[in-house]
Amino acid sequence: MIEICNITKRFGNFTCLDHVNLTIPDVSIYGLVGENGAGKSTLLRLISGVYRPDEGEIKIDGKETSRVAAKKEVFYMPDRQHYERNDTPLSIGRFYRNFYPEFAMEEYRYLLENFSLDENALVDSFSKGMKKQMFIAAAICANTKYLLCDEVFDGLDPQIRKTVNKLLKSAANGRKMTILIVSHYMEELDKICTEKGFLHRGRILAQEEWNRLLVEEA
Amino acid sequence: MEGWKRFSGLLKEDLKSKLGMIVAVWYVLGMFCLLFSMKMTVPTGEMRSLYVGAGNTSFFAATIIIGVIMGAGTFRFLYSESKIDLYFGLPFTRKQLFAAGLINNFLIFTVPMVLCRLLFFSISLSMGYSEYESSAVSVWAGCVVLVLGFLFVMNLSMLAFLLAQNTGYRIGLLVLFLFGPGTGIMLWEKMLKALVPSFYRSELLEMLKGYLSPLALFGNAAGIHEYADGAYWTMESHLPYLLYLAVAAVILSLINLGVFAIRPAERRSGMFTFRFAEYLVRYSCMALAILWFVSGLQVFSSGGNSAVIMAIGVLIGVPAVHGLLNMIIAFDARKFLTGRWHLLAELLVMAVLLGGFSLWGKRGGEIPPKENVKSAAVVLTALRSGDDSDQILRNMQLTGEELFDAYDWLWTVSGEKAGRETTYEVLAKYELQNGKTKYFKYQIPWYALDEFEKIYNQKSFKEGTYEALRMDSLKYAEVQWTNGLESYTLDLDEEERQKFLEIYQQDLEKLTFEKICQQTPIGKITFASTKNQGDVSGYIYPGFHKVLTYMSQLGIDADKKVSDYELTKIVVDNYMFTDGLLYDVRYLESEKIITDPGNMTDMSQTLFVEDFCVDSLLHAMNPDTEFTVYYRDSAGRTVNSVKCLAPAK
Repeated sequence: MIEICNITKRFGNFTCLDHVNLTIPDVSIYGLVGENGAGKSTLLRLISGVYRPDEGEIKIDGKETSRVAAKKEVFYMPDRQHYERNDTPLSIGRFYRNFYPEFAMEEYRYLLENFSLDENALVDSFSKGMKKQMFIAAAICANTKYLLCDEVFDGLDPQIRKTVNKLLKSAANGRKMTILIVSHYMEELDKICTEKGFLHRGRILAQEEWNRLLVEEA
Repeated sequence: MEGWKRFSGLLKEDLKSKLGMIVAVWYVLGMFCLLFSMKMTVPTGEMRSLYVGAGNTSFFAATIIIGVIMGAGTFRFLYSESKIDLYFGLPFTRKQLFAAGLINNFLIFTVPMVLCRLLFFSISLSMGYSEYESSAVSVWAGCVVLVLGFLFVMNLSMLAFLLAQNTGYRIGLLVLFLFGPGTGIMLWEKMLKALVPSFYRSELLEMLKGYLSPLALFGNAAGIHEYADGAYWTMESHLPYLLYLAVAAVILSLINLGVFAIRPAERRSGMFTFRFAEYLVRYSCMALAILWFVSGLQVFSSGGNSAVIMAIGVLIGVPAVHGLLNMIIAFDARKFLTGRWHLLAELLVMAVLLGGFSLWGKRGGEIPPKENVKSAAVVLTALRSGDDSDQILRNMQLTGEELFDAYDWLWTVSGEKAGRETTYEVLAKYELQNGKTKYFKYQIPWYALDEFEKIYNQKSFKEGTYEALRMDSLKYAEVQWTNGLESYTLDLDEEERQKFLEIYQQDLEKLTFEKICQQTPIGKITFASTKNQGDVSGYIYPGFHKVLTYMSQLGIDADKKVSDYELTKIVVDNYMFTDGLLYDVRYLESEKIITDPGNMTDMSQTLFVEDFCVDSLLHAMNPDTEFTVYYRDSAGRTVNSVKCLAPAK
C-alpha cells in the first residue's frame, strides 16, 4: 500500500502540491488525472524517491521512499525515459536486469516480439510510440510490486492503447501489481482503473467532483 | 547478496558510461610511461629513478587534469531531467549512487596509473637507469601521492559541480576553490607588507601557503618544486603534507557525500544549488576583491595614509564590488543595486577584516623584548657578495654576546628614521624562547652602517653569510677560478683542494666591512660538485694575500686586472634613467668607441668587471655608463669582450 500523508512540494514560491493525502490500495490500478502543472508528475517523482517532499511523508508498505527496501518494490516509468544513443531494446532489458533481480528477460523479449519491435535495433531509431511500448514491456517485466506510469498512453495509437490496457490489467490481476497511472486521457483511465482521483491545483479532489468533470468533458 | 549484486550492476553500468574516460586515462598514462622510458636526456651519473618518483611533473599535471575532468563528470546525470528520473528512480540510496561514482573514479585512475608506473619502473630497471633498492620506495610513494592528489582534486571539482547549477558558475567555483586560498594568502601577505613597514615574512603565512592552497599542497606532497622532479623525495620531509592531503581528501569526500545526499534533484532558482554556496562565493570574492583593491591603492599612493586607504576600500570598494557580485550571482545587470542587507553585512565584515589586519600588523611590528629572544640572524641586503637573504636567515644563529651586540644594533637602527638620504635594507630574524620565529625588515640611513663593522666581524655572522666558511671539502670535486676575463679549473688533488679551502677561509675571516665598502672583488672561486648538490662560490678581494700567493704558485696571476690585458677596443655606452611609478626605464643616450691605446690604458685603470660589482650599493659604481672592453686573452690569439663599470664620482 502506498500512503501519501500531508505532502507539500514547493518550487521556489510556487506550491506544486499542497498538503496532499492519498492512499493507493494494493492490487489496484489507480488513475490520476489533472491539468498541466497540477503536480501529477511531481507526485510520481515523490513516490519514486526522485524528489523529496518539503512537508509530509510517503510510505510504501510502511517504509520510507528513500530506503532501498521501498525503492526496490517500485518501478518508475517517467514520461520521457532516458536511453543512450547506442542502446537497443535488448541492452535496455539487460540494464534493468542488473537492478531488478526478478526481471523476466524471456517474457520481455516475447513482449517486444508481440509489439513487433526488433530487439537489436537502435532505440534512437524508434518512433515515440515504439519507445513507449518498449519501456512499458520493461516496466511490466521488472516484476516489482508497484508500477508508476507517467502519461503511459501518450503517443500510442488506439490499437496499441488497447493492447497496453490489456497488459496493464493482466499485470494487476495476474502478478498482483499495484499500478498508478497519471494521464490526460480520462476515458482510457476510466476503462482500466479500479480507483480514480483528480489532482487540481495541488489538491486531490473527491469522486463527485471527478464525475462532474467527466460529464463536462463528455 | 541481492543488494551486492545490484550494487555491482550499478558499478558495471557506471563504468560503461565512462568508457571514453577510461580509454583516455590509459592512453595518456601509457604514453607518458613509454615517452619517459625512451627519453635519452639523462645527465651522466643522475639516477633515472627521478622520473619515476612522486614529483614527475608530467604525471603531476595529468593527475590534476584527470582529477578535474572526472570530478566534473562523475554525476553528469544531475544535469538532465530524464537521467535524474532514471538514476534516482533506481533501487539505490543516494549514498550508494555516490559510492559507486567514487569507487569507479578511483579505479579508473588508480589501476592504469599504478600499472603504467610499474611498467615504466621495470623498463627503467632493465635499461639500467634505476636501481631497485634506491628507487622502490620512491616509486610506491609516487603512486600514493598521486592517488591522494587525484582524490583531492577530483573531490574539489566534484564539490564545485554539485554546488553550482550552470556550467560557467561551476567552472568559476572550481577556479575559486583551486586558486582562491592561494590568492587570499598572497593578498594577506601584500596587505601586511603595505601596512607594516617592518613586515618581512611570517612563518604562519609560509605554512598556510604550503597547506591551504590546493595545488601548492599537492605540489609539496609530491616534491614538485624540488630538484629534478623530486629526486630527493623522502618520507620524513613530506609526511606532514601527505597526511594533510589524505585528511583533506577524506573530508572533502564526506562533504561531497553530504551535499549529494541532500542536494535537491529539481533545478532551483538562482545559480547555486544551496544558499550557503552563494554566500561562500559572495564573501570569498568580496574579501579577495577588497584586499586586492586596497593593496592596489597602497601601491599607487606609494604607501599613503593607511587609515584613509582602508576607509576608501570599505566605503567605495565594498559597494562597487557588492554591485558587481549581485550582477554575477544573479546574472542580471538590473540587480546591481539590490541586497541592501548584504551590503550592510559586507561593509561590517570588510571593516572588521581590514581593521584586524591593521591591529594585527601593528602588534606584529613590535620588536620582541631582549629576554624573550633565544637567537637572531641579521642580513644587510646590500651585501650581495654573501649568500641569498633567505639562505642567510636560515643558516645564521647569533647567540650569547653576538646576539646582544646584534640586538642592540638592531634596536638602535629600527628607531632610526630614514629620510631622503640613501637607505639600506636590513632583515632580521628572531627565534624566541617560546619556539616562535619573527621576521622584520628595517630601512636604515647610511650613517647607521657605521656600527655595522662590529656585527660583520662576528664569527657566526660571517659563517651565516658566506657558505664557503660553512662547508667541508669532501663533496667538492674541483675548484674553478675566474677573474671575469679568464677562467681555469685548478689542477688540485683532494689534499690540495682542502688546503686551498682553508687558505680561502682564513682570508675571508680577515675581510672587514670597511674593505667591502672600499674595494671591488678581483676574482671568483667556485667549489664545484659533480653530483648536482649545488656549487659554492666566493669572491676574491685584493686583500686576499694568501689566496693570491697560492694561485701564483700554481702559475695563475690572479691579481691581473683589466688594464693588464692587451686591449683592442672599449665601447662606452651612456644610459639615461627615467623613474616610473612602478618600473624604472633605461635607454641608450650615446655610444663612444675608443681605440687609442693611451686612452684605453688610462680608462681601463679605473674599470671593474661588472659581474664582480655585486656590492655596488656599498661601494658605489656609476650605473649610467657601461664599458664593453675588448681584449686579447693570455695566449693573445682570441679577442673576447667583458662588461665593466667605473666607480661613481
